[in-house]
Amino acid sequence: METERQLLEAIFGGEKAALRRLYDRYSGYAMAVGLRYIPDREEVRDVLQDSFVKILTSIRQFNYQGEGSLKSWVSRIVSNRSIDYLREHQRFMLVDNLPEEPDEPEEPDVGRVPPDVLMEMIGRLPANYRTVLNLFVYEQRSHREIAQVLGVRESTSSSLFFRARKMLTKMIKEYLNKQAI
Amino acid sequence: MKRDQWTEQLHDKLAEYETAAPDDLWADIEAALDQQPALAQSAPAQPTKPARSRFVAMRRWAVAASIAVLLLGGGYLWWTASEQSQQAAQSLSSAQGEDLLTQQLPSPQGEDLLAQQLPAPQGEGQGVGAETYSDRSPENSSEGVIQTPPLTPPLEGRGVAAREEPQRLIAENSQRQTIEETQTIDEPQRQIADEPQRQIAEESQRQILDLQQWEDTERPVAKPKRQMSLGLYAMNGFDNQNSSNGVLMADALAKQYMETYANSYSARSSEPIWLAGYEERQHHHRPITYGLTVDYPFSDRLSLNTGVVYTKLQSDFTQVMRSQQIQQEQTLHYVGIPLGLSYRLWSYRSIRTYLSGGMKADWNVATHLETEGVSQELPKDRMQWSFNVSMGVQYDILPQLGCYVEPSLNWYPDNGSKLQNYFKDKPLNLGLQIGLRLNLR
Repeated sequence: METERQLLEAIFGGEKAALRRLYDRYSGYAMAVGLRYIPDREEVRDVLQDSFVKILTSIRQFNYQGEGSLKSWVSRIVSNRSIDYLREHQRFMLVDNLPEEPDEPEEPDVGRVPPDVLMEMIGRLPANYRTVLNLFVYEQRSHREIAQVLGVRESTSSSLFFRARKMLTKMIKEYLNKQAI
Repeated sequence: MKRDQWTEQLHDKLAEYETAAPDDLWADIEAALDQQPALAQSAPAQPTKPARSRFVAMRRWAVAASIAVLLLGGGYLWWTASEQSQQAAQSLSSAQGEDLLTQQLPSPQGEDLLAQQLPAPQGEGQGVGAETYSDRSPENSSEGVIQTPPLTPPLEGRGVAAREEPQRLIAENSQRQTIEETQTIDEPQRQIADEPQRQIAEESQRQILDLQQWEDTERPVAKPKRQMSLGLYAMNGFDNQNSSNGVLMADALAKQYMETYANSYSARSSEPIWLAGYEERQHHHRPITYGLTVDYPFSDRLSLNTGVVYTKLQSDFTQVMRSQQIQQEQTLHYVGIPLGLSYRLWSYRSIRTYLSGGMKADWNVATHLETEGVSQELPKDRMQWSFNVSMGVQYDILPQLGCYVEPSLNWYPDNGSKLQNYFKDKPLNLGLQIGLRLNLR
């Protein structure tokens, strides 16, 4: 299989087909990332189109840091474009100073939930919960960084994640209970 | 909140998850790419940042130069237009004088007589011309030398001092004598034939002399005038500013870390813990400033200046978290009011040098922050005081318009806000101001 380095060399060498190969390689993954933020496929299509245009036109600015870094970069661009889209379409209601909910939920086993079901559950979360969950869990960003990206306080990010987690836990429990019957 | 096992499970579950993108998406992407001006594949994988920075810097100077050229051109047109209208008025009065001159043109014989009667030039300072001008008898007025009085009104119209008139007459007389030296009294017919050319030559010489006199009198003189002036300038810092900082572990995490690794960690618990692989880089672009100022003189050397100044500060912040990076672009717009004093050091003809010093209050009127392409709210900066000293050189291209270059040393004390910008990172900095001054009458 072609490595990311080889793919990048082909792109920088002016091979037009290599752009298509990059798309083929990461479009499925990018679609999944987009759907984690925006559950509507039609809307994600727009986000993906913008994202790939940006990826392919600004690939010269990409700083290769080893195998997997290109995939991370693609993910980050789709993630940023999705957040931008949510902002533009007023899906966010990021309120600072959310009260803490002290009770720690008991987490069910995520391993028993199929990925597409988990995707659907995440899609049912409110947009602000979903965004913070995505950034914290899948983009591996700290609450400090999330606060910077979203322009909220660190405590708000933490609180939103807590609520998202609680809601997701409830959904998973319900799903697993149904499966058990 | 720490990343626990459940969170890791959630991450791993979807880490490799993929779902098919719409079939016709690539076609739309290709169509969009075709509309892009520069496609990625045509360019080599070279860093583009320095070239872009150079371009931006060049563009700033180009904008400043364009404004300067526009003002210069406008000022020149305005000045020449006013000069032409003056000349039109003068030529009207000259024309009347010329008519008189034509009527008074002597016969060749009269000219010869004049040549015999005229004394040789005795040098400046003897006031021959002045005497000739003032002592002319009515009898002489019918002779060639008395042709000069009708020419004086235009000269006066151009502001020539009366003291300069004798010099012009001396020069005219010298010219006449030179012409006459080439003639012989024995050749009256030839003189008659040469008369029109001689008159043309005289007139040309007169015009040249008039022009010389005008230049001598109209060029800015060394003695400075008290003039109010309006200035328009662009200013750029001398250099960009880069810095980078390490990242400290958050207090709560540090406490937990110390508890976990208390046995193996030899340092005192009060010491900060720097995160490996984490870094915050700041790149502050050179500030760019445009100003409109007014100078009000209150003595021959001292003037007070104030105005309104716009400053733009741009910074790039990069947060490095091992292999991840977060890019932020911050733009701050300030409007300021300067107040300063200028002291003229030295001047010669159109050049003058001066020292300036003053202070400025800048208000942050607009902010813009973009994190990874996402626009964010950014609170405004506090009011920023600054103090500066500068030394400038001004060259008056026209009496009404001068251009100047003014290197300055600026100090921006900390205004106490948390906003990071060029002034916080480099409170003492050098700037170069280039501008135009419109000297008001």
